[in-house]
Amino acid sequence: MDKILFIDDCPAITLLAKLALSNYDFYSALNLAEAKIMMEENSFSLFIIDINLPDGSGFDFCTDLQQNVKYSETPKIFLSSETTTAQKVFGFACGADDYITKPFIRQELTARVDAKLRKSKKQISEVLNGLKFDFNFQICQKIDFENDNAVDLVLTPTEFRLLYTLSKHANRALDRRELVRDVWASSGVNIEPRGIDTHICKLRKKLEGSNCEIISVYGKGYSLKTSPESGR
Amino acid sequence: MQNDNKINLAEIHIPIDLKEHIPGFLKSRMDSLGQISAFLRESNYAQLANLAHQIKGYGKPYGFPKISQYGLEIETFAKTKKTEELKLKIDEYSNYINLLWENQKDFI
Repeated sequence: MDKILFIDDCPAITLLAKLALSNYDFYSALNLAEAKIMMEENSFSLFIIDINLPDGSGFDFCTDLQQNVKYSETPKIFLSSETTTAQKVFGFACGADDYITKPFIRQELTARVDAKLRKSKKQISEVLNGLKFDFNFQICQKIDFENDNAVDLVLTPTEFRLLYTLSKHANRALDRRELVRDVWASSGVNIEPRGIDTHICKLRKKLEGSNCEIISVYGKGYSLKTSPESGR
Repeated sequence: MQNDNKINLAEIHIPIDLKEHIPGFLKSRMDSLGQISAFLRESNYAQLANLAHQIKGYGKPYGFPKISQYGLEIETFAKTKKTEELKLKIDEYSNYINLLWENQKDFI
């Protein structure tokens, strides 16, 4: 279930949003400090942000998210009583995907969130196990959370699909046939299960220094082993 | 605005799934009246504007558009520091919240 982080200092508004978004895993924070703690412990699929918060500006927070490798492409919605065009335009300039004014209609909030998540599922990118997969360009980057930057692993298209498949099923052994089916399913190419080993060997080298490691599982195939930090 | 002792029930449209939350909602509004009065006594216009800004945001979704309207007016007067108008509007708002509190059985 998608996790949504709702940041607003007014409990009455938070309750309305919680009811409107009951189909999602709803998290709420009364201020930015609380929000940041929640972000350390969870991965969110969408943010809804008030502008005037007790410990800072929602605009600044949104800008920070936009510059954060992990959340730059995560949908962000402002929910504010600020109704001027200038505020709305500034909100979009800060990286917001939508701007809803208070008082709001709950059904509208639900519909807008549904739409944003639907669109984001047609995925431009996805972060898994500390790796960011960009599907448009078939680029995979290793995320350095501490320094908030990312390093391109320079993968071939096959390696990209292979690593994505292993990442989706991290810490689970996949046999060669499963991997071949997932990785080459759409290509129409026949690959011998053992043919995958060369790609795995190259991927292992490219993953050196990351929080992930491809391990061989005797009698089965391969598994992507991740360290706890890589799950962020 | 609301200076008499009756509520215009036609103005109140509480969504069915919110009805159970209305007593809690009104209790919070009653509790915050003291805070509003204190800010007014201290001429703390910034805090009054902040509180009114919130009131503007939540009144209508709970079914009380008039609460949102009061929020808008109080916020405007607080921002422009129009003390007399602000006092009058806060009085009206307090009366209205008290009326809602006392007569909640009529609309829940």
